[in-house]
Amino acid sequence: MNKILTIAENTFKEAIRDKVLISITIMGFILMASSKIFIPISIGQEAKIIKDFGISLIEIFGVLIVVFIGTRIFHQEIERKTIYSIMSKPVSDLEFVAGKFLGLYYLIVIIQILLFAIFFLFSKFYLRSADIFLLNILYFFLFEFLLLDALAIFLSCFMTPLTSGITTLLLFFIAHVTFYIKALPQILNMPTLSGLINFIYYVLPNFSIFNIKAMVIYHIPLSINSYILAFSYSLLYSIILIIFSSFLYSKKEFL
Amino acid sequence: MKRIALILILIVLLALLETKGFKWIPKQQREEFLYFPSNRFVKTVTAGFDLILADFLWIETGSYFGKHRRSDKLYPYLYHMLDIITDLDPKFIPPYTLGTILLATDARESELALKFLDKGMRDNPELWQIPFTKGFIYYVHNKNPEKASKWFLLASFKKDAPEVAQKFATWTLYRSKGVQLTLQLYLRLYEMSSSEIFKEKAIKGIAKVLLDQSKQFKKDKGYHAESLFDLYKYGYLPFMPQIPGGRFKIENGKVTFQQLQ
Repeated sequence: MNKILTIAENTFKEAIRDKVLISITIMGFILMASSKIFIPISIGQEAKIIKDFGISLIEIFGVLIVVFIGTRIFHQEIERKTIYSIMSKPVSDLEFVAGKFLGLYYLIVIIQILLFAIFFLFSKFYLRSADIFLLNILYFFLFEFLLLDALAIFLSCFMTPLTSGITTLLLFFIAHVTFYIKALPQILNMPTLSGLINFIYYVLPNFSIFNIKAMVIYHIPLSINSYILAFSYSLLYSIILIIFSSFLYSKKEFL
Repeated sequence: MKRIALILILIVLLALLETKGFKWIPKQQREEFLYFPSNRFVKTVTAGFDLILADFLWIETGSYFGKHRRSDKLYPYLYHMLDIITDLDPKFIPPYTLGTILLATDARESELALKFLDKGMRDNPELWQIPFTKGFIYYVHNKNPEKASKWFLLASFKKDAPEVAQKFATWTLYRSKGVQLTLQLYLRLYEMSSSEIFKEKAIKGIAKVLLDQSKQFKKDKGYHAESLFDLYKYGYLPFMPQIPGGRFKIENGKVTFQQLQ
C-alpha cells in the first residue's frame, strides 16, 4: 500500500505542475466569473441559469482534466524515460497502475473542491446567496470522475494519448445515454440483436446514475439508494478496470 | 512566396464566402432551423448537460421573441422552442407560464398553448402555476370562464397554491365574465411576475380594460370620463387598479400609464 501511495503522490506532484491543468483551472475561473452576463438576458431566471452554468462547467472541467492529463499519464513516463527507473524497483504492475490512478484522482478531487468553492463564491457575489444543497452534486461528481479516471487509465494502457483521449470523451457521452442503446432492438425492430445489445449495454459504464443535477437544482430530495448505488457502482467498476489495466500494462513493451 | 500568395487567395475566398455565400441560404433557415433540431436528437446528444442546454435555449427563445416582436410579429417556432426546452428540463416552469401566455397572445396559438400546458401538468402534477395559467388563457384569451373556472379550481387545490387561486376559482364559478375579475387577474399577474415582459403585459391588459370601460362611459353619458375616479364613482369600475411605482390616467378618453419617479 505504501508503494501505491508513493506513486500516487509523485503522480499528483507531476500533474499539478502540468500547464494544461493550470490553463483549465484559470479557464474555469474566468468562465464562472463571466456567468454574470446571463443576468440581464435570463428573463427572470438568473438564479437557475447561474447554478446550471456553474455546475455544468465544474463537470466539463473535470472531464477535460481526465481527458488531457489522465490519458497521457503512462505516455509521459515513457517519454521522460522515468519508466525505466520504476521498472528497476520492486513495484508490481498493479501497484504502479493503482498508484497512477490514485494520483490522478487526488488531483481531480482537489480541482473539483476548488471549482466548487469558486462557484459558491460567485453565487454569493452575484445572487447574494449560495445554495448549500448543491453540494450533493459534488458527491456524485467525485464518484463519476473516479470511474472516468479508471476508464482513462484503462484506455491509455493500450492506446496512444490522442486516441485514448478521444475514446474517453466519446465513452463519457455514450455512458450518459446507454438507455438508448438498450432500446435499440425495439427501435430498429430487430429482436435478434437484443442479446448482443444487452451485452454491450451492461459492459459499457452507465453514467446516468451520477446525473442528479435536475434533482439537486430543483431541491428534490434524493433517496439514500442513489448515494449507495453511485458509491458501490463506481468503486466496483473502477477496481475491475484497474485490475484489467494492470494486465494490459504488464504486456506493454517499452524497449 | 508561393505559400503566402496561396494563403492570401484562400483568405479572400473565405471572406467572399462569408459575405456573399452565406446569403444563398434562406435567412430563416440560417438563423433558426440550425438552433432547433428535432426533440429526439437534442435529447440524445446532451449527455447529461440537458439543464444548461435548456437554459441556453430559453435565452435564445427570449431573443427570438424579441426579434420577431420588433419585426414581423410572427412566431412560427415559438412552440417548438418551448417544447424542446421542457423536454430537456421538464421542471423548468417559465416556459409553461410566461411561454404559453406569449404563445396564446402574441403568436395567437391558444390551442397549442393549452396543449403545451397539458404536457406541463403531466410532468409537474404538483404545481399550481400550470393549471392556473391554463385557466388564465381560457378566461382572458379564449373568453371561456366556464372552462377557466375548472383550471383555477384545480390550481387552488394544489399544494402551496396561494389564496388567489381559490378566489379566481370562486369568481369564475359565480360570474361568467366581468371587469372585476379581469382587473384582479392582471394585477395578480403583475405582482407574481419577476419578468419585465410579463409586467408590461399586465399593465397593457389593465389599460385595455380601462379603455373599454371609458368607451362605455362615453357611450352612456355622451362625454368622456374626466378621471379614473369618474369610472369608479359611476360604477364602471369595481375598484381603482393600482400598480406599485406607477399610475393609470384617463385624458380625453385615452388611457395612459405613468411611471412614478
